[in-house]
Amino acid sequence: MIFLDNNSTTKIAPEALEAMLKAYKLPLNNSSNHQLGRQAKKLVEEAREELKKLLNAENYEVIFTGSSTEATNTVMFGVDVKKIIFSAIEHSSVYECRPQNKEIIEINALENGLIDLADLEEKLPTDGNFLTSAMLVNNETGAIQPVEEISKLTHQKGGLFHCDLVQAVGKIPVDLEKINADFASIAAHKLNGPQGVGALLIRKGLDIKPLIYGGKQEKSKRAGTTNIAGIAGFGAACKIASAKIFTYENVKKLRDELEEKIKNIAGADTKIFADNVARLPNTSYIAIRNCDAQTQLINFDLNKICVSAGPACSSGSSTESRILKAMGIAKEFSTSAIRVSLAPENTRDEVEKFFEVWSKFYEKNK
Amino acid sequence: MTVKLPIYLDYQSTTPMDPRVVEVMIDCMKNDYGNPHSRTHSLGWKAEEMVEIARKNVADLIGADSKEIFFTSGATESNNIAIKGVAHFYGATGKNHVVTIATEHKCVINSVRDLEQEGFSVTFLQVQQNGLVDLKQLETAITDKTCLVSIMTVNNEIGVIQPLAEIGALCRKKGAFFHTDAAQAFGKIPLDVNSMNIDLMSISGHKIYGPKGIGAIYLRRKPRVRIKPIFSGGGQERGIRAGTLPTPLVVGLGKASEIAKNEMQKDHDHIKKLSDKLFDGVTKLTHVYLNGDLEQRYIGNLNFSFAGIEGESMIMAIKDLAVSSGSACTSSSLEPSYVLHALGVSDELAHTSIRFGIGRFTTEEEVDYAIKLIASKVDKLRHLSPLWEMMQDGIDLKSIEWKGH
Repeated sequence: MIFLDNNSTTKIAPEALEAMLKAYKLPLNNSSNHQLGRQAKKLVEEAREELKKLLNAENYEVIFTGSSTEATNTVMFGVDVKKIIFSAIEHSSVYECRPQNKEIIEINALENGLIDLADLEEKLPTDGNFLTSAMLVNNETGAIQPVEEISKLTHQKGGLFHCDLVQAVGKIPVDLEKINADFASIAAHKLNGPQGVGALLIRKGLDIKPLIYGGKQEKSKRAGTTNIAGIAGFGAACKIASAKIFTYENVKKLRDELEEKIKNIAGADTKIFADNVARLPNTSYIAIRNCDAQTQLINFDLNKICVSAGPACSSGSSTESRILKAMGIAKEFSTSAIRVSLAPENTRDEVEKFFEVWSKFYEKNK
Repeated sequence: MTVKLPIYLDYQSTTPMDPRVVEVMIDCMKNDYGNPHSRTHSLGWKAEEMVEIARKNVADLIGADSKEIFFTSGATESNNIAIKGVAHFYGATGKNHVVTIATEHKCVINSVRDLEQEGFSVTFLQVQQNGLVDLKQLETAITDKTCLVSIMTVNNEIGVIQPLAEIGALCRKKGAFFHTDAAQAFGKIPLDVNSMNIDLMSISGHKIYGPKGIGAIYLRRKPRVRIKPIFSGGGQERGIRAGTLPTPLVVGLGKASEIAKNEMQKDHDHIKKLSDKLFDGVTKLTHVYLNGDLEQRYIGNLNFSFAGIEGESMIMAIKDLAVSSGSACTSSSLEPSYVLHALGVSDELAHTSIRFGIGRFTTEEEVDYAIKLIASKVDKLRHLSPLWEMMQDGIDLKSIEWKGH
């Protein structure tokens, strides 16, 4: 089995697994006052520090959640504003989250995969009573979004800025101070940590209404018994993430070679999205004209290769990608795109095998 | 006799993982790391299949259908979904009243309080001195405007078991949905959603030797309970709860449920034996009171008040035992327990209450050690205590004003 679907989830790092195993051996609840409770507290606080270090987030509160979707929903529902502004290419945890008491303003995307800044500037409210939410990296195309500009424009108009960091962390350096976000969301399982843990970062001094009520865990911002082992695994994954970013140079090389070869044999029959803008080093979103994505996926699966069409969260429903549609891509390409997302663990042989399967399929169906 | 210290007697706060659960989770993390929502490749399908097996294991434990089980991050989230979800859905149809009891877990109380702030009408019923709900009072409280009655199965602090079947029948008769927070009961006592007429149930993983960070909510299909979800996103869990499903955690909850079902009698017998022993040992001391009903209780929870001693000094004195005063979630504040208050326990006895939790991995040696330690420390602390002296002198402790900590 060749796993080239690392934007959907990643394999857990041995360091993370080890940290979790250690925690699993003890009954740890950081809300308890006895010695095991204090031991649990220590694990959680260490993880919080690792996360802050990785994101340059000393000036932020870290609130651990059950997922990044929950972290993002907490911001969308819990920030006291009248309007929320986001682009048409946001992840579904933003795009589908439309609190009834708030007006939603949607921003267009450009064909190159980026959020349309001119459209944003035009639509930003002037009353200062709004939140803008934008992703640092698009999960399907891998395009790195101009979040620093979005943040700046938002702040100029007196709004608050939420940045969805989920797909970026661990693959490219992320500096929250530089982005100047007021809120940010992150998921452990996208950077070789466990599934079932996310975090919400809140700039110190800002407040938010919780989504889940109960005990006083996480400074009363997120109730529920703390997932000690999961958080310890998250912390361990953060700790190794900075060093691991360098290994993406090699990933990028493999990805670029693959795209080169595909363009060479398929030319205008194929399209690789967002390849003219800054992109994640591991992502390649490749379409073959009028060649249904589901058919391609079945073929890859028969050849024991895991890739995806669009994001995992909505796969299985329709093959037309909402993201590509928003970018204005013609249907002949937007229904025929598959996403390859590599990890440092993937070998050259694996990528070559992918190319072999892809090219055979292309030759047969062109 | 050697026992490893500290002795863990805080099973209501969280439980150690069963090694069999850890094993399946580690295997899943190492080998099956698909995203269960990836319908486009076999690792995704494998993950989905494992999730469905776990769902069935959870359903089987409460007599439900797999389609009625939705995974969440834990019982707190489930309680929030159940209470706010039902109220928000049915509130729009004019059913805007919610009934609960004063001794619920904080997350139920705070969810209901939040609804009250939004304009819902809410009723907090008092409980009887034994901790149980008064069914006549409950019947009067439910009106044709009531959309939901939320009453926990087993109380987290004092372990009393509410009369679910009677409450369920009452709710069904009066046309209100019945939600029960079963975090402390699921996998420990027999539960059947059909015979008990339960419409929604909150379930926790880490209270039954499974992992933290996972729980579930049961939502009845016939008659159908509808809710307004509290998060939106990728439409996972059929729109009830968005977010990537953590397959290893789900698999862990499934395994823990399977073991709990197969070994419920064995666990019960083991825990009963040790619990009886602890009860006999501790009640040999004078002026020690068990909080909550003696009969209608989960046997793994013994909550005692030790008269004539300050609770925190007792916890310090017996620090070889990992125990809590009150529940873990509120134990960082030193206020006396609101649950004991609701039972009418006086301040001075509420201050000296300690919860002893016994579970699958507690040993007889540990209980023997605990009894000996408690007996010697109680004796010593009472000799040092001005309270004890006053009691011996016949001074009414109720006349003493407690200063806030």
